[in-house]
Amino acid sequence: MIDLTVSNLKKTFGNRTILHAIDLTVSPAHLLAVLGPSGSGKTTLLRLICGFERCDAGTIRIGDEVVARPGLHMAPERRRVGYVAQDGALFPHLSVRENIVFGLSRTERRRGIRANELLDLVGLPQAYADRAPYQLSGGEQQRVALARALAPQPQLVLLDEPFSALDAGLRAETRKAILEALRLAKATAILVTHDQAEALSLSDEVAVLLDGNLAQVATPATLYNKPKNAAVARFLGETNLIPGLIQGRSVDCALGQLALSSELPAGSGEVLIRPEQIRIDPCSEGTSLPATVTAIDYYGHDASISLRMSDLDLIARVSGPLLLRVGQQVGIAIEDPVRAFG
Amino acid sequence: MRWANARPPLLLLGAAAVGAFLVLLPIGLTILRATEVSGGQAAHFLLRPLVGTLLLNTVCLTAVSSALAIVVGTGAAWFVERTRLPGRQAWAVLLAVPLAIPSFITSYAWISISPALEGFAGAVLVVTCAYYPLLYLPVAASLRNLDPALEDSARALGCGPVVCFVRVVLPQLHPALLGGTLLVALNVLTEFGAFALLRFRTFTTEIYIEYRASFDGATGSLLASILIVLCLFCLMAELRIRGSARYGRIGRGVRRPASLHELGQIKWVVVALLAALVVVTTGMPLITTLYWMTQHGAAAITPAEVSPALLTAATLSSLGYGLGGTLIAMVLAIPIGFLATRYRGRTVTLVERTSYLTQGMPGIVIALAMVFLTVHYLHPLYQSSALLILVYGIQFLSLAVVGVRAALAHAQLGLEEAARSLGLNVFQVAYRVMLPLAGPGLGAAAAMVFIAVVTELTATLLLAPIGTQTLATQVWADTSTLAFAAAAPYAAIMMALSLTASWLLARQFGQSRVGDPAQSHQPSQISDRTAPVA
Repeated sequence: MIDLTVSNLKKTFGNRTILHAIDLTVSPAHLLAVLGPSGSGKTTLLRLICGFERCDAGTIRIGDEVVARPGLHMAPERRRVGYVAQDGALFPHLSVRENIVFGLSRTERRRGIRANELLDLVGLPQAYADRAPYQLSGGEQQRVALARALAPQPQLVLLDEPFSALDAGLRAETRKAILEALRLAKATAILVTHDQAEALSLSDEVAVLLDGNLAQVATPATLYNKPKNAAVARFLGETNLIPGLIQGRSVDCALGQLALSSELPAGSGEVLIRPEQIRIDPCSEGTSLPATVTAIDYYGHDASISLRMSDLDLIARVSGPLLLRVGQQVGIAIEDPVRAFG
Repeated sequence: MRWANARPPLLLLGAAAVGAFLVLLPIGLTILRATEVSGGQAAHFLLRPLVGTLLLNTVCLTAVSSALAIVVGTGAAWFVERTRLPGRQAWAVLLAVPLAIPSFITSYAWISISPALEGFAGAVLVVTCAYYPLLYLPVAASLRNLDPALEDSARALGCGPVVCFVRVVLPQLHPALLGGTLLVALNVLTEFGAFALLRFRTFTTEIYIEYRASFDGATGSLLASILIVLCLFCLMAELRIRGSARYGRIGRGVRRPASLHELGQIKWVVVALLAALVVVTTGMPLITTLYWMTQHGAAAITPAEVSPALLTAATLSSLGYGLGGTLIAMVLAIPIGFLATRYRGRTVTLVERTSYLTQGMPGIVIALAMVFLTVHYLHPLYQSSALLILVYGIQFLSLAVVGVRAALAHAQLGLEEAARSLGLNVFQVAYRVMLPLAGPGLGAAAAMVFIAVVTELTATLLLAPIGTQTLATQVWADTSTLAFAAAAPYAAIMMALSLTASWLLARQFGQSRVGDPAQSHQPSQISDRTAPVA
């Protein structure tokens, strides 16, 4: 398998700039998730790499071949990329088998051996080969779409929000099957998604795209633990961001003096406190800070607790049996170290 | 939403059944009369070479003009829907215009410039010009409905633009192409005026000759019965295709609008071709009519003068019959539409389907059956305005029902129930909920029926009271005697009425808008307005 390099890529529609100078590299056989809210330009990035749209500036290189640069636009059919659309886009007039072998040459299509192999790869029974697409569930359609994309042995597989149209139950199962198939095929892949949990759990690397700019590219763990700025931190999950005064290795804020995970130049900034870093003590005594429970969202395995501390609103997450009620006075403590942004 | 288990009130069912009965009456009468002919005589009559010739004429004409219409209609639809063609919106409207021009006027326009167009060649020309929108509109709608992700996927799988069109797009257009072809066939079968003027022999023109020769001949009913069977076959096949074979979109995600192909320098060639198409199909009847209007009455082969008084009288009687026919059609259609949108069950389906039969019934068959009925049993009604208006009502019932159904579908039962729960009584619901929601659609349905009645020729010709002339019968009379200049003012007024009404309709309901995904699931009202206007 092969790598992808995108450098200085720009795209505007009319007078709206969708992508500002994107630089991105995907290593061979890695899965990169492009994560961003809707309208951030992530689908446009994918369509530029596929060749469905022309870029305004910059280059795209797949393996050793430049497929787009100023004055050059290689047609999508010549780029040898696999593309899985949001809803699979299976051809409704063809059977599952005919869909899978669609991208193969005429002689290969006649032999039709690869269809069974690919059905195995995506974890579907071979008996499905003669069904019509509408006889499959949404998740099964997505798996067939991946099999179809993998059939011509593409250099790169691009998945455009492939799980967003599925309901929760199917989603988990389909994710697993597709991840497994991509690993077996040793495919280099890009997954576009707006779902943080999906991006963090599936990919080797995550690229966060905010307003047409790449905010951060990192492994899931780095991204969650060491977000580059407040915007990335806020986008990656529920956060408490409160103003504070940074003093080298510690920070002063409404929650007291907290240790920082890394040294920062002195000055005012924002302190990031993840909900799981707030410990709640049901009796408000001792060294803990006093707060009031204002709302409880109970999810079963855990619960999200909204707290009010003088003029500050905080969110905490607790697991296990819950002994709190709305209006209760509690004490809170912060588990150091925390991150801050200058 | 419907009341799944509720039985429709008897009064409503009865009112709806009146329409269904009136549709079945002429069909039943025709077949009944055909069975009066003794077996031997019938065999002798039907095995004449004439019947074979008529069949061959019809089949050849349908085949050749459908093939042309498929090429022209699909090509035009693809360029308008899928490329960055200059003036897409305007082309989308212009290409549908021929449906608003009565085909016998197109026929008049061509035959008046060259008598050489009589016969097969002229028939191909006229049918293709008049009916290619029956392919253009459904193909354009299919292209709009096609998920662009399918084409993207095919491109990523290594298909070039042409291969992608052949392997992915074309198979999805099959239902539209087949359905459109059947509609062309249905129109070829039912059209009378256009072919009579071209002296091209089909079943309808032959039935007319039989009627003229032996005023009350039962043998005409034999031909008419064959025609009914052929029409029913096309109609059923078309309904089947429309009902089942449409490839639904299987995914459920959000669809992006199709990206349009760049044409580069070829775009001016395409524009020139489309312009030529519009000139031939729409410009030609308009220009020829205007040309003959500038000519002195004596300039044509047969001289005839037109007086303003005659023109006014014909216009007024056309408008009067138009309003009357529309009124009857709507009165018959509203109970059927109401029944079909609110109740289900075998009887309801039967009544609704029966009303659709008129879409495929030649006007000449209905008219002749009613002539027979009134001459023998209801003589006071024979050649009365009341009978003519009733026949219009029967002929355009399917057109009215399609429109009424679409209109009433906007006023869903749930909304009515919500209004009732808010304390409104039946009449308040009708005034404050049903009328605002369904009113515009009902108006549109009425307007479409009005256009169809004003441009109707066959029934008018056979049933108009003695001494009454309408625009259509005047064009017919003058063209038959080759007085082309005399026919022109009547043809011009007729086209002006039809085009204005269609334009108002299209503007009101924006049916021809290009690439608007919000409309893609609504069947185009213009393409439903395919009731043969013969």
